[in-house]
Amino acid sequence: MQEDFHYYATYCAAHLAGHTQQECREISYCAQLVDWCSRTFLASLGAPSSAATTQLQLELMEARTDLLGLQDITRIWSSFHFLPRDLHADPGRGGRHYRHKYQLVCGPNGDLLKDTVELARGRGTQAVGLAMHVLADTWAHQHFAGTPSLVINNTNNHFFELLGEGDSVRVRQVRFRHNPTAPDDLENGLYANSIYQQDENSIMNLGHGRAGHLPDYSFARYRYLPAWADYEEVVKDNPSDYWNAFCQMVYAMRCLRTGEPFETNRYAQDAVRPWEADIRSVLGKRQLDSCDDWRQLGERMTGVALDPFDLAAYQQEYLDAARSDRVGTFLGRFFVSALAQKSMVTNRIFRTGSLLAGVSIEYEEKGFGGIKDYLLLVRRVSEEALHE
Amino acid sequence: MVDVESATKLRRSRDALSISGRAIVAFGLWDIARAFLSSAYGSSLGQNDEEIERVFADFDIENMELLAIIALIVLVLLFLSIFLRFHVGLAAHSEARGKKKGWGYVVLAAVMALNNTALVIVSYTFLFVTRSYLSLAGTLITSIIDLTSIYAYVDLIRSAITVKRLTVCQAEGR
Repeated sequence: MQEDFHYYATYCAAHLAGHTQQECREISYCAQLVDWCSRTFLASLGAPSSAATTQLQLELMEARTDLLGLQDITRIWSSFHFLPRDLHADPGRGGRHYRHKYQLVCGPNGDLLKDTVELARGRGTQAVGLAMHVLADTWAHQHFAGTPSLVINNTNNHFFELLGEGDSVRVRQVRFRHNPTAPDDLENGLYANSIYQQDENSIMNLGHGRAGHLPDYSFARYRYLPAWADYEEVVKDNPSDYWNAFCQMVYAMRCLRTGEPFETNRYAQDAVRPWEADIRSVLGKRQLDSCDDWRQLGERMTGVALDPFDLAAYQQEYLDAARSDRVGTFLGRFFVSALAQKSMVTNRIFRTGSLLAGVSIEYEEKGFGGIKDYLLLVRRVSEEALHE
Repeated sequence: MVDVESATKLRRSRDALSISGRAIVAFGLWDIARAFLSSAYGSSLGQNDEEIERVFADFDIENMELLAIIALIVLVLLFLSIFLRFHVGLAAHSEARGKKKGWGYVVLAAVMALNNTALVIVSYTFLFVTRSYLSLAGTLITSIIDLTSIYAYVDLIRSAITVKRLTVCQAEGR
């Protein structure tokens, strides 16, 4: 998903879930920050690099694709952008290595989603915003995995856009081009995607690169052949999926606010219904960027002007704080939430016997081991336990 | 309205047909390479330049003419073989992309599969009958490629039959 949904739509959803104006801003900021919190960003703040929730294109270009490099990539993308739906799924074919990759395929309403939302409970707006980003992406990025894999994430020229609705649906072949600088041409069905690379672990085969930005356009409806689907066609209806994502975000945030346990496959359509027509209208509009429409809707919902996303908003507080106090700042709490999410997802993947996301050491059994950035997380958990 | 299962099977078979077709074309290129290597470096291990020169020293004019005719026939057959492989492979690839093709290339593929099978059997029979075990390595390598080629032909035939059957069903709306 893009800024229009992660920032503005999350803001609207937070409002409908009953959060205050300030909380809505913080939650939406953190939801969008997940797409910006790269190692480059963290290095500029002197923040722990393990808290990275994304990798910029330039970082990906330099990323190693040996075992450790692939594990690092998988940890980031599977934890925040391609949350696996079912870590025990059985593809019915292939060996163990293929099965482990298949189990990383993203989708909504998985067990990990429940864990993600519950992990944010009682941990502030930063954790909520991060969880909402992950939740929203499970809808948009479904059928792709957050690990570089040709046999899972590849697509081919059997890729058709479905234009119109109902009886007047027109099928048009999607034409891909490898020009990252030119914007997608919606009029003529020309979209940018990553280059075909035969190497199984090429960066080009990470996530939905082979489908371009189509999963991130709320208006797009298309059908294609995912590599894992063994020639079965998958139909993706983004307007419907994004609507579900929005309703589920409202439900999740309401649960976190009121203390109600979060259950998958539940949506707060009752709270959203008064705005359904407006939301569906924005979701269905064919445009590369819906930020303006979502911002206007948000302002109508709340009656307050909504500022655009400002990456630098909380940086000075972090930089001005003493090193020992940084964990208590706004960004510090976000970084700890990111570490917690990454740690949780890596642990779940590791427990299935897969090493795709690396090794996870159970702190309670074996004490602290591994990357020292996670000491922040250990201290936070200890403080919470003491507090309780 | 074509059911989903048939559509999936058609896609899978078309893909398999395309791959087999390209494999057959690749084997045609291998034929060219093999012919070149055989003529440039000799087809039989264990023979050296001195032995070959001694053999040719005994040839008179009539035998040279016969040799030339045989060489010409072999060359023609070689080109024919390469041409047929290309024809079968490209026709299969073309049908896989949706163009309607007759049964000719499928029949040809069957003939060539049988031909390759016979070649493999003959080469091993010759090897063991003449006990020329020095050429075992060459025969082994060649037969591995021939067996792979046979597999590609069989897969092509199977996929072509499936594609044609399902395409007809699709056209009839079944």
